[in-house]
Amino acid sequence: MSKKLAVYASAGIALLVLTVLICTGIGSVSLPIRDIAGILLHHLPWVGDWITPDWSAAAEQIIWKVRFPRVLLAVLVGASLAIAGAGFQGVLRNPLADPFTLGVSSGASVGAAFLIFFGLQYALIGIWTLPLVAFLTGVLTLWFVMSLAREGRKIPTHSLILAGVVMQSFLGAVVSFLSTMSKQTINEIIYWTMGSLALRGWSYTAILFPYFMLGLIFLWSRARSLNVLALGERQAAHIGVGVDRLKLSVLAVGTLLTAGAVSVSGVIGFVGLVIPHMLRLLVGPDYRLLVPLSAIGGAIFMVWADTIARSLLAPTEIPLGVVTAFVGAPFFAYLLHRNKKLQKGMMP
Amino acid sequence: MSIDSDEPLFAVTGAGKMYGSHQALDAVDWQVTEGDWWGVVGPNGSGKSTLLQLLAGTEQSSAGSIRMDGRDITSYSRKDLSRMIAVLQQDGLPAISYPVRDVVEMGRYPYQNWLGRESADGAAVVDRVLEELGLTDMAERPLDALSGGQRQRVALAKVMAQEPRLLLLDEPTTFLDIKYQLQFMELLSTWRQKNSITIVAVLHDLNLAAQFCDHILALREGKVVGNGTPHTLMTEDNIQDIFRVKPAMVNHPDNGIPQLLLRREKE
Repeated sequence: MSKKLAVYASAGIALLVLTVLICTGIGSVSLPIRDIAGILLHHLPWVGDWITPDWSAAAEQIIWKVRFPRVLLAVLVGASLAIAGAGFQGVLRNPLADPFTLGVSSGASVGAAFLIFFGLQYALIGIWTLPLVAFLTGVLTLWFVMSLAREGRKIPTHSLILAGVVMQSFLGAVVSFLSTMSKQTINEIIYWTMGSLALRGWSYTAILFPYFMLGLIFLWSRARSLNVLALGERQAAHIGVGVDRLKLSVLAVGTLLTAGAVSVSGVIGFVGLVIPHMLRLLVGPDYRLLVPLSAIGGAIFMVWADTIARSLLAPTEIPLGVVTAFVGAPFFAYLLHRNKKLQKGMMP
Repeated sequence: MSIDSDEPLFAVTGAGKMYGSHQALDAVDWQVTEGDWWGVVGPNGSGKSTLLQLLAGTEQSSAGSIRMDGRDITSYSRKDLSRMIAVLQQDGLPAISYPVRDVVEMGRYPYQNWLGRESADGAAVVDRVLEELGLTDMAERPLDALSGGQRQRVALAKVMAQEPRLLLLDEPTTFLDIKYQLQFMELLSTWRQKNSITIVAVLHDLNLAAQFCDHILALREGKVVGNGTPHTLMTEDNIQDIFRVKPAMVNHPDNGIPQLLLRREKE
């Protein structure tokens, strides 16, 4: 297992580094990878001293102040959403669960849209206000969706997704309404609901980083329990898993990760769905592999999606949620089709 | 694990269980000594599975107490219980795509810390169990590629890897054909002789119960209506009291154990 993880993870990290280097170079001013690597290495402690700058100050400005923070933010957002999706799928034993389909993303976005609408996004606790409120409304939405879908002690796959979709469209309407009502902030809310990583700068990366690290460590530490849970809740309890506590904590952490991502980037769908599934096809169902590899996979996916979003029709930016939906929605349809054959709602 | 020889492994005292207004179990008294093999029999809805869930600690009794090693069962943590008690359910394992070895290794979960390490050599236990059940060759195959009988063998391997002192079985042979039923019971029997574990098995098949179990507990409508050896319990009158059918009893030609034949109600 650990050998398999080492092989896949090192391949994945190599791919991620390459992705970051290439995508940082793409833009209105195209820069060679050599310079990018140089500039990035130059900013590393210790290593930086060994490199003599032979690039222009303008290039350094573009890379370090504009493009790299954005790419890094894409890494964190993609990784957060992907592991949140993996966690939701594991704990609900439902292959269609992800922050977007469960309505958690939309729930978080409603809280954030309210703050933006009333100009309160920095009230009380500064830059942490938005993520905190997004988390609370995300949790509330998840709770509501799950109680809506519950039939007795069970939560059937299809009613869960249905409840999620209902909540998602309702909350989406709330956000649209808020953006219509608002005169001066209209662009901010609309832009934000469709997902964007534009003009975020380093501070957002700094907000998201602790969320992501805590989430990753927690979910990874629960990987074995999630594996056992695949046997069914009762069987998992018989082997010593505290099922209720596991479910609650993973759902809460998944929601926290989603809220963190949503509060810096808006609603970006399907990442949490597509990435864990592609990895399942590649490496199998073991969460000890799926959690860390989803982080890497989600990061790579998001960096490319954001690069497409900002460069395909440059200087017009395509909303990031549009790009991920173009990839994600057909994939979702495929899963739904496949899931019909697996009537029990088990993992494929 | 030394315990007093006259101290029972577990003692059920006046245990009752209500589901809403339905009394699933009512004032059950029962003691099991370490090393015994018990069969629990009774008609559908008599509370057999509920009793098993109470013993497993996954349901809590609404009246009375269940003590394990002299301690109330609710005072154990989920992990502590799982090191003592393993449960095998009638539906066995779901068709998941985890390889056989990974599933068997899940039986080691209660012994592992949060990093997945354990003080004993868990991998050796898993290897030995796979070998004993003839699963070594299919260790890397995904569970959903196996037949029902093979899957039930993996389920048994998983509970064996758990190294319990008490094994609870809920109609483990329901979905198996007679060859696999017999094979399954023999595997249990071998395991029990080797490791002197205690077995409590809810069984539908009275003949199988009589052949393999030392003691039988009979339930009807949540109450204990019989408690004894197969010889004392498997009589025509008792069977009629418990199941409301009139059987014909014969003795097994090999070993004289009472066996039941069904009679047509209308000739």
